[in-house]
Amino acid sequence: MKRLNLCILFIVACLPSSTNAGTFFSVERQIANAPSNEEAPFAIVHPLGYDGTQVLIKLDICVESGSEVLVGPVQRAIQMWNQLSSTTGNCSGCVLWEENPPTGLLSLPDTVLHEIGHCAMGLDHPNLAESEFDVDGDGQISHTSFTVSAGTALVTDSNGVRGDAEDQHPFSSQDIAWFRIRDNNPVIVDSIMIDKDTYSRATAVDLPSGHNYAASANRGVAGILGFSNTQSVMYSGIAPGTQYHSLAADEVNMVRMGMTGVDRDAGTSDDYTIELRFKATCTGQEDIIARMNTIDENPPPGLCLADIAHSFQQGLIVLHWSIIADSLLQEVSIEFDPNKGWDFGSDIFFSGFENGDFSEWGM
Amino acid sequence: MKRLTHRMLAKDYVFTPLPSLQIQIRSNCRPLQWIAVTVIIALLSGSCVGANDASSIRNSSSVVRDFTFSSDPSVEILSVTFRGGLLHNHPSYRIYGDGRIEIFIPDTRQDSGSYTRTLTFEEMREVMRFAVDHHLAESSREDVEGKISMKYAGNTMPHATDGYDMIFSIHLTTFVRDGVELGPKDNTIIMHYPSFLLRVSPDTEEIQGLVGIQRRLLDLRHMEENEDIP
Repeated sequence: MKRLNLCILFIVACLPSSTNAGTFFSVERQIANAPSNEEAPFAIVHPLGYDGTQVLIKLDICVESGSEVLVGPVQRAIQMWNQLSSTTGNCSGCVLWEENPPTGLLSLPDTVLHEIGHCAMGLDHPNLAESEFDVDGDGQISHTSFTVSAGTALVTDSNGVRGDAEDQHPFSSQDIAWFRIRDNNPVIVDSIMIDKDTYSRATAVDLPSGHNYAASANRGVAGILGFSNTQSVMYSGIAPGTQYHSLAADEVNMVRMGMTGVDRDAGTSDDYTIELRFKATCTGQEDIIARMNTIDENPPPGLCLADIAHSFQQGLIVLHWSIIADSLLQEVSIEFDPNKGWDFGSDIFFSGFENGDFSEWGM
Repeated sequence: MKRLTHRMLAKDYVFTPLPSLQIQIRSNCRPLQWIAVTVIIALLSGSCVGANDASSIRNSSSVVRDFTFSSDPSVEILSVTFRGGLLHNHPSYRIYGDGRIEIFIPDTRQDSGSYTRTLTFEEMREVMRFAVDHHLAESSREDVEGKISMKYAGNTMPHATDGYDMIFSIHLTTFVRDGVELGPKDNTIIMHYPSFLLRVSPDTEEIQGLVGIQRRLLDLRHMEENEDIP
């Protein structure tokens, strides 16, 4: 297992950067912990092992013995993240925070897809500021969008959609989500090049005229933008019946932003690509371990356990961080509730099993 | 002397922490025989405590903590709720002074409903003692994070992404630490996914307490499931 120095990530406040309304890993705690020279929420978080020099980052993800039900879902997620292809209409059964979800089984493949987005790709929830964000560090969630905060002074909204461009952010110094400078559209799929010239998180400067908020890649916002059944797979809620058929533009563009490398310009020599690789067994040499969580009392459906550190030595303003192993656990892991009523999906065995090609299994 | 169970008492009651003799006495003490008993007990214990249970705790750091809690059925003496994580339909648990524990499971879950359990006084005292013994009546989130973050370079806190927050609250009528009366004590601690914190900091007593409380509440929830009263 690879190791890096320990620290925490997030930051990229000073310089305009581009993605749409996603966030990078661990942003919420970084706001509270960031030293004055590290504007934590605005960091770009790179995958495990990135030190500013690589052009190809390879990450091995293994399934721990006894957790073989994760094999198919992990392989499916690896394929989707490696393809890095986005569509609209990617989600069926997506439920927003303010909606009552149906009862039923939770999709294990899509929960795995989400957790790999955290631990392997360095992403956080695009709806962070809308639902579960402690912007002022008082330990209480600060709801910043309509519906949950309806009736408070926090937001004004005319259409009842949480996270759209109309929303008022009550803490103007806490820009944490990225957006397309051109149109603040988090779900559109087009050919725009993703880098610091086309994406920003500086809402006061770079939002289109009349916009107040970096629009969130949730189903409601996508709907009023003309894209039904579209939502980021990194949305913080997952409900029984929710299925993601592909990635959405938001997470793809966030990853592409990271892939622009140190200079944050696309098409330059420091750009990198990411290759996730499946390992059928864990030997201790893998980067990320996938397991069913038999350790904790009452575990949540899914977890990503990782930390962050500076990617390399930087100046006063730290922009680049990388996923690292928690220094005490000494591993990066994604974990899932073994007692959850799961919908295991149809991909029990995935990719190569039927035709005998086990090459991507590392066997 | 007849030993009364908690369920049989409608009024506040008094306990003295005598290992060999525990007698519940009505606080109004109207009947003559109760007055006589009270005098006897007072002479034996050297005190006549107020209308709540008193328990003395001597923990590993040799700090003695005494506390009482209300037996008023309208007073919430301990609560545990949750928020956040991938699923937003968390249960809540509230314990009241009469031993009633109200468990609410949101209707978005298959086991949804409102459930009531009744704790004996001994069970209540055990839960409260456990919480107090693990500093949950005194510590703040910042206190706990300070202990854990010391184990990490840069004094940062670990984080379990997609874990849920646990919100613990306790209400004590009186709280005495090492003989110093600290008055009523209300304390709330919000910790992010204590089970993970227990992995990285198993020696932090507050985290032990939060996870232990959670385990006890889960056990209570699953007990007597055939006797649910929605």
